[in-house]
Amino acid sequence: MKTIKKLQLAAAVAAGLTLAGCGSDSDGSGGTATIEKLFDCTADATVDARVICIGSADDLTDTTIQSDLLTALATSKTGDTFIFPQGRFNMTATIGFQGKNEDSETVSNLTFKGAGMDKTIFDVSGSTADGFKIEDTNNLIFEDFGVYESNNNAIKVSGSDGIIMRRIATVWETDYQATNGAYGLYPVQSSNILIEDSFVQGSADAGVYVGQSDNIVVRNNTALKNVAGIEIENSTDADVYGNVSRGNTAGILVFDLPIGNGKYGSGVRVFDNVVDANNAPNFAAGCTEEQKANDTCFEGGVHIAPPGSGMIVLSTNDVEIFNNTITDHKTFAIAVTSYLMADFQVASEPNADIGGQDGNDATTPVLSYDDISKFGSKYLDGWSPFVNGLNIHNNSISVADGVNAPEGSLIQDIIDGYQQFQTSMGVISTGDNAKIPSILYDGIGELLTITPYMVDVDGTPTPSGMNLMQAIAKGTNDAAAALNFYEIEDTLKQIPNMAPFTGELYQTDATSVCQSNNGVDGITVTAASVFHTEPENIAASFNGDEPLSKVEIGGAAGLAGDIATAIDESVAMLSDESMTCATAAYIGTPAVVTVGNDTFGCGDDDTTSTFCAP
Amino acid sequence: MKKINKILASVALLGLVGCGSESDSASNEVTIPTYNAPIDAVCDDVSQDVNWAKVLLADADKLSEYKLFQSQCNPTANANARGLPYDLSIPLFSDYTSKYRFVFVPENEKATYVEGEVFDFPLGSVISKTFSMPSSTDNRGYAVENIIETRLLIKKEAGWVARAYVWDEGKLDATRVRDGATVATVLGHGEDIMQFNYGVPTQSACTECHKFKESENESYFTLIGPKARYLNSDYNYATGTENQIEKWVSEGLLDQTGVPEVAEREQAKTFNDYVDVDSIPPSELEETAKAWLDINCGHCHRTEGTASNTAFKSATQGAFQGFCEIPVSGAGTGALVILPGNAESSLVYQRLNTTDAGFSMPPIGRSAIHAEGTALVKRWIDSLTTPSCN
Repeated sequence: MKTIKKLQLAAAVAAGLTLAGCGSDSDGSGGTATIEKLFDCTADATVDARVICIGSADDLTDTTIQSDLLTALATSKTGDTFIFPQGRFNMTATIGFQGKNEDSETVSNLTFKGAGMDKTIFDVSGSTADGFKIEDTNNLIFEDFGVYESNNNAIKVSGSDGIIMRRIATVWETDYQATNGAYGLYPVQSSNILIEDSFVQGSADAGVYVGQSDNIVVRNNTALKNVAGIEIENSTDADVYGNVSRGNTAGILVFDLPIGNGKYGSGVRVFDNVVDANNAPNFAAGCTEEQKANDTCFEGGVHIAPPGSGMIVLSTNDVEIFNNTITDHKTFAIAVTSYLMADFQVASEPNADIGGQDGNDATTPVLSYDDISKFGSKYLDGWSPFVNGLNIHNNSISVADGVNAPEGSLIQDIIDGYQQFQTSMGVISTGDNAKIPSILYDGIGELLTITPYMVDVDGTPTPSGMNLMQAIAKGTNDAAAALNFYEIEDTLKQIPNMAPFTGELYQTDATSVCQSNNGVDGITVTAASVFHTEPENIAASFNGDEPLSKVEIGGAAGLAGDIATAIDESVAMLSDESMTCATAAYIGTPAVVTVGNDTFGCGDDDTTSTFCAP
Repeated sequence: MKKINKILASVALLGLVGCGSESDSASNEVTIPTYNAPIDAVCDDVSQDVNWAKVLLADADKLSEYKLFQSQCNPTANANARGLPYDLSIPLFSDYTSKYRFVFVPENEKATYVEGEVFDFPLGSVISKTFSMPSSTDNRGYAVENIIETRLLIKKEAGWVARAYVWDEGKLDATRVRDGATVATVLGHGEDIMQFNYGVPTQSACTECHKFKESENESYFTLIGPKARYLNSDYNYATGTENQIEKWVSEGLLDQTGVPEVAEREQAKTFNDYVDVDSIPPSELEETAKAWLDINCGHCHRTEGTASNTAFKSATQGAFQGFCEIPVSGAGTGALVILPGNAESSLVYQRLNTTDAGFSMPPIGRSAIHAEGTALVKRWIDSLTTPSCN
């Protein structure tokens, strides 16, 4: 007898015609004035430059617009321009294109154009998937329309070379709602991407998200009330400039995550942006307590961003942040962090019990790269959890009175430590909020790099000639080599074919994370690392194998009454000289976006912005 | 953690109990419709010959123009010459519709056996698949079903193309659509009454699942089902039960050359909605569950598929991946792809066991939860004992 479980009412696909019959506007569209429907388009059949009108003077109903658009894409030819009428239109299906028309002909060079980002609006709440999903085609232009209330992403473009998103709005009109869709403008696994003069609001993830891509310019956009305003993730050669990011949980993120497909980020410049009062609650879906306890969380998502974050650089190499105006964040202006802030297992000692051959049942046998350590295969794939090469300079950072109120579960222990310490030291008056550094650097990569790796020789700790970071890297490599040698596989885990890891997880140049000339009118704001970055201070920086943050060291000393130590530590806690670089710090180069015959970028088509003049 | 389906309460019942209803309990009052196929007299036998010229053009507005079936009303039986019905030993779930599959290969042409992947078909070949919704999953058959759509895949010079035909009111013929359609559905399933909107795919949605990315810049439209491992099973033909691969060869649809000996032929486990998941012997559980994931997920979750950048790979061709993998993006948060021994904490199971927009998988083509397939995956994941993921 078959078993049938009680099924819930399923309504994943909105009732297209049925909905229209009820005269329903989107429930989430409160506040938007009715937009007059208006048709203004002349079709043109010129080969390679056709103009396709969506809708007609006689018929601008939702169903016609959707049907016309889907049909136009199904029958598209290279060079087509699709002209959308003015009005707000309810969509019940994803507007999709997969690089080929219905006759399997390859199609590229498509332009999607509306009457204005506040005049042509597609309300896609009736569709269960993405609003627009365009994949595997080249040279795309999206201009002058809005996509509202997507259940997933608003506009996703993947696998494409040459993408322009210009004067596009992606909006979720209900503030701070976890059920708002994920990404607004979402080019991914693509190259040559220009996003400009656009508006993103209300995303439960990132308003502008560019991921796993190369050659990127994101400029002159406005991001409001998203979890992350603008995010560059696992991407190379990106310029983010001239944007306003305001009222988000975090203003601008530069992340590099262990995604395991060989695509990791570097070469990002963030400049000339206004990053203001990003103090919204973090309304992204997060991990449950049970999942945290079981260590089954993905730690790197935007749900970790503390409310009140101006910018966060996570794990990405070669980043230059300059000439931004960063104001009124209740937690910090800029955080620079390795992946260890999210997950300490990143740098744990490798497990070397290849195939369980050490005869000790207590150790976990290594049967795959990820048994070497939690992120073993990701190191071998080329990912590093640390920030190498970062230059934060000439930004104007300020916080108005009454704004400071740091929070965020990820850094709660740091906040608590500063609060305890400052209270005990009388640095701030009792009852005031703790201040944490405006530029907060975790510093743990440096700590691990400057700490000698000691081995036990006859029970005596002896320097091995390597630092901790080198030992971790070598251990990973040795285990991987042994894994290859024994040709170990089992039915559960197959070893991917990966190149052996030869690099170091962290470059040993301790001066590579730098900050200078940040502050209002030249008054330097506080900048400090959480962990020690000075060789002379490492002795007290570990409790056994556990690295101790300065907050733990200083705070404990202060509270214990060791005033002299506490005062000494307070200097390091509040202003860390290790972020002051003697030699030239990382200076990026302009990103250039090529779409067809046109090129875009700071100093290329744009010679007017402060740093873009030739 | 899971997204709440914003449209669930306000939209689900609109077509059935009137606008504005927000009452879940209204589902108790819903009656299951009954369906009757059109009477035969209306449906002339159009021809005994497939219109191959029309097939090659693939441009018919009405399904009947291709003359694939003897009765223009009934694409579930009696294919014209060079057409043969077939079944997959484990089918892709499509909201509990009955699926009637036929393969047509032009005269004097043959398909070629391919190891591991779909067979290679000659120009002019047609795959016809008709999706038909019963009143109850306990009682299937053309006579008692609501015939919804017939999807054709036609091999043209440029490659396979997809054509979707939605059956007209009256069910005498079907009309081509490019822009999809939704069909409000009430379905009896055991003791339950399920309500959902069945979705006819848009032209683009067809390609999304059928796309094979050979390289970063090269992709083509491919088939999903007609692989040796799914066809290497018995089918109850009018002339008696036979192995499908043998039958294709004897009917001259498949070239004998290249077909391995019986013992050498790949074969997927058999599974369908009428197999009791708990009765599957432990020794066959993993293979059965992986076969279900292969046919339902593997066309996207493989290196050449749309979901190639996710941590989950489930195609039989290529290494199965997902154990202890951390889903990095676009997946919500908080669960490993597959946590051995714990389906509830495994993203694969979570995303199958939901209809929440933006979270459910596959992202298109499923509006109802596949209780049986989901139970199979759950039992398998729960049965895994190693390794722990730390």
